[in-house]
Amino acid sequence: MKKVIFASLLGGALFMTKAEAPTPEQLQILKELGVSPADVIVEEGRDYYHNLKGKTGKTCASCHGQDGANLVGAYAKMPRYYNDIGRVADIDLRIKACLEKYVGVDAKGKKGRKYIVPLAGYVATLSNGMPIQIELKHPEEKRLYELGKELWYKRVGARDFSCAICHEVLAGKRIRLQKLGAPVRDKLYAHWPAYRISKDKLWTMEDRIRGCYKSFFLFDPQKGKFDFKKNWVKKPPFYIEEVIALELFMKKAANGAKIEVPGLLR
Amino acid sequence: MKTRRDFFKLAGVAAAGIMLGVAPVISPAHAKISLEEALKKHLGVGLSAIKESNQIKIKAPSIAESGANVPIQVSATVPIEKVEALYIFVDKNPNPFIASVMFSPVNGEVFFATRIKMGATSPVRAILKLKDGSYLMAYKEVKVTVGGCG
Amino acid sequence: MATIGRAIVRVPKRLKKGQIFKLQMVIIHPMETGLRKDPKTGKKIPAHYITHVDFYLNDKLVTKINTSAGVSKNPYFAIKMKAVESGTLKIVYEDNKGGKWEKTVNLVVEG
Repeated sequence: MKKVIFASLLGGALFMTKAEAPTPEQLQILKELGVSPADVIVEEGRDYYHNLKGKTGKTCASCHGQDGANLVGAYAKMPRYYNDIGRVADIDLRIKACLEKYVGVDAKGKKGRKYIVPLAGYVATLSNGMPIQIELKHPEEKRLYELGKELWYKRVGARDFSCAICHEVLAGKRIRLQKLGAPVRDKLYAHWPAYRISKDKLWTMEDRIRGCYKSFFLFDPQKGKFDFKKNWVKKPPFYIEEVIALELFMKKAANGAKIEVPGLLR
Repeated sequence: MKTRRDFFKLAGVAAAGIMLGVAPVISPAHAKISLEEALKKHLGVGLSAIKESNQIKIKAPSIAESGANVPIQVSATVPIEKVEALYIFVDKNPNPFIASVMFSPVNGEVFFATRIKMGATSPVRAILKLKDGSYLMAYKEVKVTVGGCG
Repeated sequence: MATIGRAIVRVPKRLKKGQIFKLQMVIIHPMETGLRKDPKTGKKIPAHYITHVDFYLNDKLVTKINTSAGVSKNPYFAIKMKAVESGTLKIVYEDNKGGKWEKTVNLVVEG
């Protein structure tokens, strides 16, 4: 265990330009500035919403109305089951499916994120000020919620971590100079998608959870002995059930909280 | 390159060439301009010619964990008609010059805010160039630490 | 992430004559210093940063910001301006690789 911590601290020091997060006072002043790059990315999402055309010749606005008229409040109820996808989808997957089916744009993998993230940012702002309202009506929603709850507490990987260890049991304490948030207790999902200052990027909650899994050091036992450099699962694939399940669990915990996006975080 | 010996001979000659023939340019990896050099380059004067003044205020965090995004807000009570430009320097950066703002009376007030990069704990300096050729300065030391988790 | 050069400019919607207001802008730009190495290739990432932002009020240059790569990625700038007359504020910004962009904002000054 100690070797693992030491190795990661060393790794952290070597890549210090990548891994830096603002202290509270710094973050406070950054918030006071009033306008952040997140706002530009939301603008870009707005641009795509009205102008991105694919093979079908339609834009998001063709179906959902000018200025997102028909999507006001939609984000407050996601993730949820969608008949046309046949799955419970978070905003990322919902937009991906829309882009591929109704707009006719290839939105797979990292390439797709170029459109999906700004669009998610924009669509989320259409629910600003509204309370989160997750209702588990469909059996799939109920199943995924239970799966999410199980995963939140399940200890996995080379470090025997679970989400709950850092974000519930140790929440409020600092790990390597950063304060651990409590997304379930504090209804933090209300501030996602959020702009991560230390990464200079707008992240959806899916990005965040996939990033978290880097710290877990999951490995595939079929690949033999665990090796930091070789056979460590860095990030789970996009749009998998487990990630959406965790999102559903965290978002339901935030029911009632007023949506305030894009958030501005360390 | 027939043998390893040939390669080393070649490498040796090449290294000597670099030592002798290159102009006095600092290797980019360690390019470091001193504050004094940066001041001379942009203002034409050194630090000793610049007076400290409490007419200039700098708002910046005392401690910044993210050296990549340090917010600074500079304001001054000097009337805008008397001011030519504002300069921002960070002593310990590889290039201490960060930005300059040329004002006109249309600006109404001396004010500038931005986010800057800082490589290490250092003073952040705001220097006003007045139309009469004189300079005024204020500075604030910002401690830069490094966050860890990613 | 977003398109390089894309920006938003924020000014108060309505201005009273003589009022001093804040103008804020954020530009999407990598602001590469040229000192960083790509962790995957080990090669230096070439310098790519905004060099200046010029503000023209009704075609007259009123403010000029010169920047180095020491300004943060996706830079934020705020200056103050006096609401003298209604008009067009044209903001022209360029980077060291020949990138050049323009943003226009209408200033509505009453009184």
